[in-house]
Amino acid sequence: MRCAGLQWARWFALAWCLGAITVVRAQAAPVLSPPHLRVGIELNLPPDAEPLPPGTEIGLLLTIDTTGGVTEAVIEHGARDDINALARQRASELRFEPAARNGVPIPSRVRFRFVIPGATTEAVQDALPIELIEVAPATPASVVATEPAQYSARGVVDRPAPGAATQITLRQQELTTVPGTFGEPLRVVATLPGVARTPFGLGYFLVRGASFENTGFFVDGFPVPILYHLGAGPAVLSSRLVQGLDFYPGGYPASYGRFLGGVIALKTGPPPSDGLRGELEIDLFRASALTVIPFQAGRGTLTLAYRRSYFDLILPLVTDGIDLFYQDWQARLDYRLLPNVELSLFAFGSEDSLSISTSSGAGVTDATSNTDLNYRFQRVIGTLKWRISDRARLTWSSTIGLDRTLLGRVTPGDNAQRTRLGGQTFGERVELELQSGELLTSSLGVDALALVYDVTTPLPVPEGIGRIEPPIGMFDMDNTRVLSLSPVTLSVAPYVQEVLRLGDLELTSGLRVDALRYADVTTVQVDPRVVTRFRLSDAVTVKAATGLFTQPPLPFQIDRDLGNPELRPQRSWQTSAGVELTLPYAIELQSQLFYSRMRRLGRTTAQIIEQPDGSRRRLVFVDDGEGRAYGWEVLLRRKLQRGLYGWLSYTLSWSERIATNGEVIPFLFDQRHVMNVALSYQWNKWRFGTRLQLATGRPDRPLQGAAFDADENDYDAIRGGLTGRIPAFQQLDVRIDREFRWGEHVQGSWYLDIMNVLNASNTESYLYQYDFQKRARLPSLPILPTLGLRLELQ
Amino acid sequence: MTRRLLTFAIGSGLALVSCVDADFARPSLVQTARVLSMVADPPVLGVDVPTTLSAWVVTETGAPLSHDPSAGVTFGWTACLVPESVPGLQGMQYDADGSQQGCGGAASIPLTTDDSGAARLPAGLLAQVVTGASLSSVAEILGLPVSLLMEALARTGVIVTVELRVEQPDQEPLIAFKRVVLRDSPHAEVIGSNPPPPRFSVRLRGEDETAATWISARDRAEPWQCTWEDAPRILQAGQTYVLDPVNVPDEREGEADWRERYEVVDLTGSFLTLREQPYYAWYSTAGRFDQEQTTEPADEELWRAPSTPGLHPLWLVVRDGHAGASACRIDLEVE
Repeated sequence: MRCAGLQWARWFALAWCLGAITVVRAQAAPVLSPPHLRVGIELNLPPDAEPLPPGTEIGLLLTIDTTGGVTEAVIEHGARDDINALARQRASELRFEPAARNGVPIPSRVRFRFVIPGATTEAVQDALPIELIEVAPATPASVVATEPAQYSARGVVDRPAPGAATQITLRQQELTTVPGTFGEPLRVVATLPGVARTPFGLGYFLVRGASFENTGFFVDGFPVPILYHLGAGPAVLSSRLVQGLDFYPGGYPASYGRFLGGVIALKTGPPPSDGLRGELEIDLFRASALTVIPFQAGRGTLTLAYRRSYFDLILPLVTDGIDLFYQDWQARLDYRLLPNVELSLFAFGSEDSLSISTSSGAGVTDATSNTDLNYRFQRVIGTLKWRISDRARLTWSSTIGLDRTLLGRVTPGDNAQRTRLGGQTFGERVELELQSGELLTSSLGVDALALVYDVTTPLPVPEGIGRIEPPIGMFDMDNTRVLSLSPVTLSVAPYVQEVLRLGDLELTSGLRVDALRYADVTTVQVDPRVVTRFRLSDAVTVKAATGLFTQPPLPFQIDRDLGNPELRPQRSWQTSAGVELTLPYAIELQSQLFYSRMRRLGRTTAQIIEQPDGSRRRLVFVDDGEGRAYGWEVLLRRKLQRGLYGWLSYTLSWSERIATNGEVIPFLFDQRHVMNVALSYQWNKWRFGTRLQLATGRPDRPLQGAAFDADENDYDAIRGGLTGRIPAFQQLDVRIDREFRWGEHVQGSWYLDIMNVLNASNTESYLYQYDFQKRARLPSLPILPTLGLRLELQ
Repeated sequence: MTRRLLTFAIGSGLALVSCVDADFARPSLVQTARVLSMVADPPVLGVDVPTTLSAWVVTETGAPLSHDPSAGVTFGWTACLVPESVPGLQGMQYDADGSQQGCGGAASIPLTTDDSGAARLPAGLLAQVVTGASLSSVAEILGLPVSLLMEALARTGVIVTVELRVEQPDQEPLIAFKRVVLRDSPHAEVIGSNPPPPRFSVRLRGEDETAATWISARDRAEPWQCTWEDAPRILQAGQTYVLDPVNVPDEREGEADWRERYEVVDLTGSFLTLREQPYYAWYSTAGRFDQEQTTEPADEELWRAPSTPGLHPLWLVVRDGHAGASACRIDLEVE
């Protein structure tokens, strides 16, 4: 494996070098001409539309192909949703003289604005160098240039938001047509650099060597507990409500916090619609419906969505003993209160239910055991966006949420076990963004969160002092205590972020102060963060970042009975440095080295201490755990252009934990090499895609024998250290989409998405015979095809 | 995050039991040389009291495997203190050494094996296990305050692990371990005893309980040998029989309840009183048991007799959940 790793590293080092050389050559002597607007379009408001104030602007980022047509129009600064939709539609009708290099037409990207001076509109083509791709300003008679004439050979688009060392933003088809994801935007994250794979595609992300609880999931700035349904299921939000997904593998901005590793942030919004609109989607496993209802001439929009699986109808036909069901719903109200004030209220919820009553063979589990799992959560997020002026914006949002998890298990000889985990979430965020000239942008905000948990669980007396584990019946009532816990975590975090732009240098400094209160701990954690980006040329940007990050302990770790109420917050120090290259053919390359040092990690202990009042307490957890992760990430990406998009991501990493005796051992999910290749191409109404995943197996303890426990009447494995690994993982997925239109009001697509098309037999773990004399592979998901249909009614 | 941890653990666990159709042997079927039971007599005792350790080892045919150095079969016993462990969550344990079961050779003392293969745990063992160490060292190993160790010695006792290593020519050694509880108690030298020798009834499934015939090892010179209390019953090949352990306490025999009470330290660090409970483990070289183990209240076992006529051994091991055990064997005739 080590030799194979070196070979991989050599190949990518070579590819990196070749890429760099290509860039240098491309920069040598470009003779470029910008695109020029040939056919201007007026943006007229519908007769019944509510007037817009004079001077209202709608900013778009247009992608222009070699014929001069607009292939993509992305709203950057919008007005009302109905006007935005209209602007996108009208922008697609614009015609340009294409940009050219040495007289040869080339694709380009340009910023464009529709300005509404009064009753009519006029189109404005901007020329902001950071957004230009082989573009010079054009000022035809009907177009007003607002910036000095300048252009660059290649601009940097989708650059990270200030404060982020690395941010990967995916849009549109990139989010919904990656094979193996069943069209789910959130599963695309698993293909990005820095992300190790999790067993069975459970959807938990192991980012840059941190454990899965150290990566945060955010929806509109607030944390949510899960992103996916069970059973390789879809996301808990309709992809149509996801307007953007920002993935920060580390070094995330100061506006986010309370996570040690990375952040996955969803930005939601209403689906674009010019009128009443409905969508239906159905495949082999689930069905969903969505409707968008504009009102008051587009001033407001109501969006409703619902999805339900029908595993509970299918599985009984295939197998006994497994019952799976999930559903989710969303209701969203968007309303423009004033021309510069927007309100939104977003309510969503999700439920998963799984019941298993079966056995996998003698000696592995009891024949008639039954396990039930049900979890659900609901969230309501209210947001107010106030554009105070061209240079000041205020965003205020609040959330309230309810969580509930029920776990039940019935085993012969045991009493039924019922664990109930409830939680309430209350959050507030206020952020003020100020633009102080061209040099300085400031963000000030406060991020407050309260988590109130309510846990009831039966727990057997632990083995150790006087207690010997019985052969069966861990949960018999005599030996079990029912514990009720109500840990509370309060956090208020003011933050400030300053972005200073001095020519080609951009310096972002952020400071987040987390005031935390939970159990017996009241503490203030100061997290400074610095990101530097320096543009060496139009094609090359170097960057470096460092910062501190804080995460409170998990709720069950700080309980007075079950945990240690004195656990301090976990801390990490993350550092990264890298380069971003813009290559020909709309290809970009990101490469970075990262190092993360983790301290105060919670780890289990059996220690009992005597308290000052003479009473005793089990610690269960202590906060002296330490870890580190380091490695190299590379992303070679072609953004969607002329129907083709794709990326190759590769991560070489080491994730280690430091044992109490000082020995450095691999983290349980350490994966040395992780590579993903995703390619998708649109040809007429067809889109073909494929994805390849390769990953080193996670560490394993080699079996050295087994010992018979004569008291528990079972065998215990005797294993060595984490020196082995399970076999490497490989999987190929394919996807075909076909668009269609029926008449004027119905359009849609069908798709065939086949996960693990080669039916590769990957090993997730091993199961052993009762005496460990024989083992069987625990396989990963087999080939899993699904055929889906999506209809849009408008 | 808690939900994420919970879901991850549960999801992985459910995947374990739902996706694999492994062709594993049942633990109730004796097909390899193995240790079926270990008994300490007494299992719970004062620190200055010796205890006798014995083991029931069988070959792949079910024949007894005895300590016989001349044949290359040796039983080696050791004793040690094993620091307690709390099951942890994945990613939260930083265990450099891997899992050690039994004594693992560290901080253990060898015991002398007698000719029968048994060993004797000498008095004053605690001081010997941690050679030359003071109580504070023992407390450190166990992660306890010294005062709690003293209190635990008196109330819960300290668990000492004894390990048996069976060496055979040209075969991997068999390793087994059990625990004995040492208590610094002024009240009695022997604090806890083993369950009485097994006693159970046999009846054809569907038969009335009054038609059951009884098998017992009680009042026998050799307590490991079960015999029919009345006339031996010949079992029918392929038929399913109900094996029903005697109720505890055995009111028909007028026995006292042998289930003892004992103290433990619970999750909060407080003392909690528990009571022993019988657990029944059944073994044979042929046939098929419905469950691997039973306990009250559903302590009945179903056994489908082998389809091949002949004598087939049946073992029953009774454990009390607090280091105590008893066992017996009977050869059942199947026609």
